Amino acid sequence: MDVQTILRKYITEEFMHELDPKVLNGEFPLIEKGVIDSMGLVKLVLFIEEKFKIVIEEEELDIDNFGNLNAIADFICKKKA
Amino acid sequence: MAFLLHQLLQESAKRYPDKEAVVCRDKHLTYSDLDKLSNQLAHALIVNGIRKGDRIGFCLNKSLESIVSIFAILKAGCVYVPIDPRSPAKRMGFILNNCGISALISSNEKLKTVEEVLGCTKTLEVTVAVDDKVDSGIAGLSQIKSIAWPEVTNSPFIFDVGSQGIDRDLAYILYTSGSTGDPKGVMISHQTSLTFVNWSYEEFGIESVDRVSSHAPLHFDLSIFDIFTSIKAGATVFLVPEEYSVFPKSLIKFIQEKKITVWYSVPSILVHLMVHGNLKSNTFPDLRLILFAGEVFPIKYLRNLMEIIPGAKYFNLYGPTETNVCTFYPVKPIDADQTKPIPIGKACRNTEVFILNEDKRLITKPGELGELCARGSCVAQGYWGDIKKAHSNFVENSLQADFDDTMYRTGDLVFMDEEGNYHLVGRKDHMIKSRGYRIELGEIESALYSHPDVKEAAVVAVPDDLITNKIKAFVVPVCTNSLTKVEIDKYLSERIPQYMIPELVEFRDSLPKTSTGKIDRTNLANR
Repeated sequence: MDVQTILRKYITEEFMHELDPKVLNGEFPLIEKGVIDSMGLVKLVLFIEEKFKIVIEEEELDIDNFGNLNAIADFICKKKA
Repeated sequence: MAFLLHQLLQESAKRYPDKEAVVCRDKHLTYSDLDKLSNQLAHALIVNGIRKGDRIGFCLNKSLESIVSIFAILKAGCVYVPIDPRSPAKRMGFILNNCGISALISSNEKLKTVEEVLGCTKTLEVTVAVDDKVDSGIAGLSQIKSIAWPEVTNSPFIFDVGSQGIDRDLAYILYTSGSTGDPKGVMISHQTSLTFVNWSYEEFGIESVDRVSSHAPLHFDLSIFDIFTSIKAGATVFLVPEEYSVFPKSLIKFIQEKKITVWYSVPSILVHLMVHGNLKSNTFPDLRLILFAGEVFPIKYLRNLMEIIPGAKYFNLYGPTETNVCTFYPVKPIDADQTKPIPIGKACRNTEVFILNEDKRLITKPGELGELCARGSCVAQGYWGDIKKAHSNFVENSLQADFDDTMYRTGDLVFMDEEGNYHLVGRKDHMIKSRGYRIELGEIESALYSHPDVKEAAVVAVPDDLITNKIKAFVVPVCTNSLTKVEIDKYLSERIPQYMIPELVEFRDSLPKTSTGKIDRTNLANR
């Protein structure tokens, strides 16, 4: 499974209860729409670190890296490279 | 002297017309702009049929329009009802119907997601979209007049109120968690609100040079300080966009760049900045005042914060929505070996608090435990629709019977120390705090029980270092393996806000009972 698919599955299951999973495309603004709040971000970061075996620094936690699925996938790929 | 909340804006607009009143992202409104625009929206509401005393909801993210809405609704002589944009549609529907909303201000995007709910709200007559055009689907809802923002900005901005309201009129209704399953709308009059606004203005010396953050959502009473106390002083309010709270780095940058001088929030967000944001010393040189309320501030983090930001004054504010703030405590430097939480302090000026025992008698001895009660103009007018106050804690003052005098029983167990400071010990009931949010465990249980596959359910609080409590649900399904946590999360998210959804769910074949046959919550909480 590619990075985006893994992320989409996790986010849909953990965070997208009232929203239709179909809206979760690469550009959907996860943070702005409140799908992921501050507690959710902590959960998501832990999941990503474990699943993809990377370490995320506090300075890297911002809207550029985590604003939507595309951004998160890009960020993970850059870290793994 | 203002006796209505919007007069605070009108008075400041005369004194500081060109000063920035509200800032949101890269846009702002001066006092003159805010005064004019709220006049225009008030006018638009009235020409579309809104009457004095109507309840008008707004469901908006932090935005200039949300602040305009507040003042417009008040100027129209109406009652504003802020609705959490993150609310599930069903909960929103309950609130709209419960208080008989006449108009709703929101974005087309949000209005579309709740179209069905709007159609079922019999009292709804007008929708106002903050967009350029009316959405055709919303426009199609029969009996509802839909307008968009251009109609507002084309309205006249000299506004003659007509008949003046009085301070006893309701200003807003704030909905909080209800133990029987439905949220309760706390009614607050102009006079009640101004009691808090005036107290906080004097106590903290808010001035026009202050730059005050607006972090709390507008449906939480912390926002009353952020908006009204600031406006009274002619200060500038900096709205914190919701997503900034998610990234500690962004929030720290915000506070620095905007040179915030006054910050008011629940402790959880400050803890979040320290734990996940690596907050360093000298980061906020302009911050002179840090107010916190809503939950206990874990002492080790408070001590740490005071070391990182030594130049600010710190105050612990206490009070349920029903009294806004009734006691407060100026925080002194904390010893390295202190483990017990700081007190909630003493009564605010012009408010009285006292402790009653089980027999409703006054406790005066230091150290003796009882329920904290408050009386005075800070006490709200009750819950919407609960005229007889049968199920509420608004009761006649049991200490004197000479004149009508309502007191509010907080349900908090406290004691007073030798210095006269009150200390919070626990709750009389099943209300808990988690991340500063007020949560009735009964509301979550009620939602669980409404699921056809749930046979029995109990929800308990699990104490947590960072967020005060986590929520754990024990569920007995009708058939084994018929339910999963994911399903429960999804079901609950359609009924209750995200912050009430249990973090932990344990499935059981049965729940332990006490000798009287009730669910043994203590047993469950101790596992």
